[in-house]
Amino acid sequence: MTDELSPADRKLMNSIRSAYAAYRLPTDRQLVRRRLWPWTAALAAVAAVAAGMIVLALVTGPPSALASWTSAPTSSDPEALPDATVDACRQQAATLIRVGERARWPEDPSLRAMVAAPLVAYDERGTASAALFADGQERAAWICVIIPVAGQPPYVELGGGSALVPEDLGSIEVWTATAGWNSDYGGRWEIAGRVDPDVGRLTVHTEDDREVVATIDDGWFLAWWPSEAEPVRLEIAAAGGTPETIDLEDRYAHEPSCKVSLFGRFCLWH
Amino acid sequence: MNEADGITIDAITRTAADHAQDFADFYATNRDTVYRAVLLSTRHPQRAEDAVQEAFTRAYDRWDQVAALDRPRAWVTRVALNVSTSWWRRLRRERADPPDRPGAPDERPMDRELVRLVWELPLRQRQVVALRILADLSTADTAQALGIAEGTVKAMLHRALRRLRATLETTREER
Repeated sequence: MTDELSPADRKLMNSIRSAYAAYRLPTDRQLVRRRLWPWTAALAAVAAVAAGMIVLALVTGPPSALASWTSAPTSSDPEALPDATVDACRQQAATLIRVGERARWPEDPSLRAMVAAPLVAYDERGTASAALFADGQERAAWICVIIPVAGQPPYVELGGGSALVPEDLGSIEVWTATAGWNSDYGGRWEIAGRVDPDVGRLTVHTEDDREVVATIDDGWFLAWWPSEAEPVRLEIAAAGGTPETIDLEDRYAHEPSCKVSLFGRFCLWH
Repeated sequence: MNEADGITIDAITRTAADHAQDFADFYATNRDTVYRAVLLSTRHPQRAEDAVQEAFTRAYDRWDQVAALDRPRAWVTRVALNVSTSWWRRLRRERADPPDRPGAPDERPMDRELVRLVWELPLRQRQVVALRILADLSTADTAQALGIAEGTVKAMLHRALRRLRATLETTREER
């Protein structure tokens, strides 16, 4: 089979282009990202379930820097995080603010909150880690994933966003649940929020059968895992109490929800 | 001026601003082309819209690397197709009929017929048409995006065009 196309083929191809030219991306949504709940936003991107050959073709790439990931945190001490890395996380938010200003996108107040928000939880799993920055007043929570890169500053990626209405699940509030994807490191999920003082252990069960033990620190929780498998269930164990299970799978159905973000107005139909 | 813990927003370098402008130009130039290809591949307008935006978000996240590629549009198209495929499989049903084209109120009947015939091609042929014709990707880029051999791309394109031409001729004769 050759790639040579006859004049008739080329004419037909041009007709197809012409016939489809009227289809245009709507202009009222500048950038859209998929989110688990309406109030979560992802700067980093993505969320696709890793299925299909196209996905596999894209995900296969350099060896994953996340191979050392552990289901339970290996450290939750924020002191383990160098100041330079904290700065790098905030720098990314500052950069995005500047980009938004330049592109005249509607401002996302949570980004400015991120620049000033305190680091409230740290979760290290193997060589990679995540840091939770949260602002209780602005109800904004941002998760910065930090992946070491040999001989260079670590790769940092910001996910999260405004928590307009934190999801009240009883003894916890989910402030953000965000999926990310990177062609070097593949998919990733993060989830974070507030937790009652009597909760001793929080485990996230994922679609790919991981049981991810969350970091709990001074009323905040944070967990992340290196896959595009969504969280399907939370298990919460209160001190001296009966474990509680929260099913997340039925939380995908939402009426269309629109909000203004850094990238403009976007709507979600989940 | 916004300042916290040593970070000054106004201190962001001009490089970042140029970077944003480059991306904005790239987005404006390519968004519709990528959208058409993903729309035809998925046959789901909403999912195609989301996937295309998602793909551009990813491109923005790593714009330095994507901009340095020989064919950044091919990269974005590939990612959009990836995302749309995943979402489509999980969450949505595709549309049996092509959506209305708001930009074509005075379209010719033949255009409408051609849109429908292309829409109804078998999946693989449709994907090849979407990428080779609508996204204007090369045979090699199309093969890479779909995870198939270049020879298969050529064969699928040939079959699709042959099928379309035959159907169009039949339609004309019936009129």
